Amino acid sequence: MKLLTKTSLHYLWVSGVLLLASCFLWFVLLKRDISAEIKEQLELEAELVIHEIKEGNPINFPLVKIEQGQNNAVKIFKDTVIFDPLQQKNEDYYLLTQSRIINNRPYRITVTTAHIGWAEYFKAIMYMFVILVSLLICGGVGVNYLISKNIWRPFLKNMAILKGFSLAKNQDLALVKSDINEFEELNAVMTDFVTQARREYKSLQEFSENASHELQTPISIIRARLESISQLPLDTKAASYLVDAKQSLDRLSKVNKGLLLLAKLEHDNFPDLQRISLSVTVTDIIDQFEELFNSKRLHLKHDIQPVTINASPHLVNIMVSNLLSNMRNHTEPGKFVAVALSPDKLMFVNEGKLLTFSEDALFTRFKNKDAASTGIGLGLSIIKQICLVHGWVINYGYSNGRHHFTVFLKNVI
Amino acid sequence: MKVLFIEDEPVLADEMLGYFSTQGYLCEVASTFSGASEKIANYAYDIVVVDIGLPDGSGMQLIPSVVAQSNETGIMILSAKHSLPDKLEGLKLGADDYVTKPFYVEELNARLHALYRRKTLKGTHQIVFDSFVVDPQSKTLFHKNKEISLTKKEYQLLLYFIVNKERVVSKPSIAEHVWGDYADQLDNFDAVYVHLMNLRKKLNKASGKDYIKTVYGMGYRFSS
Repeated sequence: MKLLTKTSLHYLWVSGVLLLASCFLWFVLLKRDISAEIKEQLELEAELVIHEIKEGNPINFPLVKIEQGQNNAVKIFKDTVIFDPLQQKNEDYYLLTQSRIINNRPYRITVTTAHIGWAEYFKAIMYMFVILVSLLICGGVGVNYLISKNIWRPFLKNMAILKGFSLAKNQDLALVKSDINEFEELNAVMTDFVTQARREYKSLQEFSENASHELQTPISIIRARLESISQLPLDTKAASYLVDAKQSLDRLSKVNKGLLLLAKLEHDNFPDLQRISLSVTVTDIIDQFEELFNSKRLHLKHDIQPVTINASPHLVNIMVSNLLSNMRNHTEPGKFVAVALSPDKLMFVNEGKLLTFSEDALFTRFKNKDAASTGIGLGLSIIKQICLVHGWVINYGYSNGRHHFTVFLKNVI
Repeated sequence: MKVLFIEDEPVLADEMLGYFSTQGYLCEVASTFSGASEKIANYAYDIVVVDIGLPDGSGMQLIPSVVAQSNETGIMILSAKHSLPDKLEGLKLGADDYVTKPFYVEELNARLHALYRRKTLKGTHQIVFDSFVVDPQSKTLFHKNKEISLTKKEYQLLLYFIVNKERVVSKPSIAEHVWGDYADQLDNFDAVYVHLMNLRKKLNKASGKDYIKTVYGMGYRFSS
């Protein structure tokens, strides 16, 4: 629920209750005052009648009844109904009956006066309030509309800016200014937050890049020395130890290379962005991989349409070869493998079993390894990052027993 | 071939020196920027191998002075940075090739040979072993004037072996040489094995001699 809707609803709810309460209060107060006034008027009239009786004048007041010889000394003030022959219906009246001894004779005097029925009063008041409530709702909606158009606009714009913001991209956070203090404060807090997060993100990036760089030299030394040991005459045991050490070093070297590439991808601008024929690149790489596929009794089907694109040839190379080797590593001999390139997408399809882990983990570093995999667990993260650099989107799907990796291309010429 | 290695890491310098001296190179080593500048200014080299990260400066800045000294000198960058901008900058400054650490000395050797043939010998040189002749320009192999047809990969393999003869060359090193960056994608070296066996058969058929020996677990050794 929108904040505006929520506050409006609360506002309407409270004003409804308040209006209803004041409506009743108004009615009660009005009724009390009017009743008192009528009573006063009736008493005055009764006094006038008594005065006339004392004077011995004939009484000819309308709606006055004088009875002699009755005296119960009680003063009664009450509502009554009198039939109006003109309108053919009962009308509401107030009536005051009092007994008095005048000139040593008991009298009972009843004076009456007409008034509007309380129900009518109540109806009138209700109508007024209903109109008031409707006006308040209309006014509220109008005001809210204006508020959302003007006051909230910078806030909503900033939300959109923040949604599209990424620490990885090297762009400044430019928030829209507002004349509302709270929003300005929020902007200041967000800007601070982003600055700090970026600082930490950068230092983390630099750390991982530096760490990887620092590892390159020791890896080089170990490799050089292991290769030198390989030249020496070794017994079988020593040789097998050496082979294990070399294999692990190769793996370490690959992981390190992958991490380095990822760190670079996250903050470097790749300077070799240029017009390339994607179809030629893909075909070349497929040629390179063909024998590798064949050695696993896989026949790689390909349907490559001519596509020219603005991209980094270096990165495209890494991406396509990673995707191909991913496909090769995860397809059993003799199964279906295919690559298709069309102007809007590059698709890799291979037959295989359902993933044993969640699809979300697929593109996450070190998370997507199954027992059979010999990869280093970075290939797909690298692929995803390369897509990001170019503004492409990579999608994974599984249907009819086949895995589909689709790169949706942009910057096609 | 006279080579200057500019490398501050003593073990790596020792390894390069150790291997390349046995290959008949005339090797010299400089471990600092200032030492290297002095050597470059005073002597002529066929090839300069320069490490980018030196304790007292960037090896990148040595490149222009090498170029100024002699146009004939081949320049090979050795860097811990697998970075495209660095590579492009180095090549723009006048370097001829770029090798990333960690590297195999055999690979560096092959690159140095290629560079030497290209720059100093201008590609006119033929490589001879026993009764075989390799013509690098046409990328062909002859046995007693009879051409032996090789695939592109077999040719690359042969050249790699000839340059690194008598040395045990590991499978990953071969894979990296033949497949380049794609080698990282190989999960085993069956493909290396297939090409190797084909080459071995072709050499054997022509000469009746087995040049490529398997060294258990380690790789292969080419000996003539």
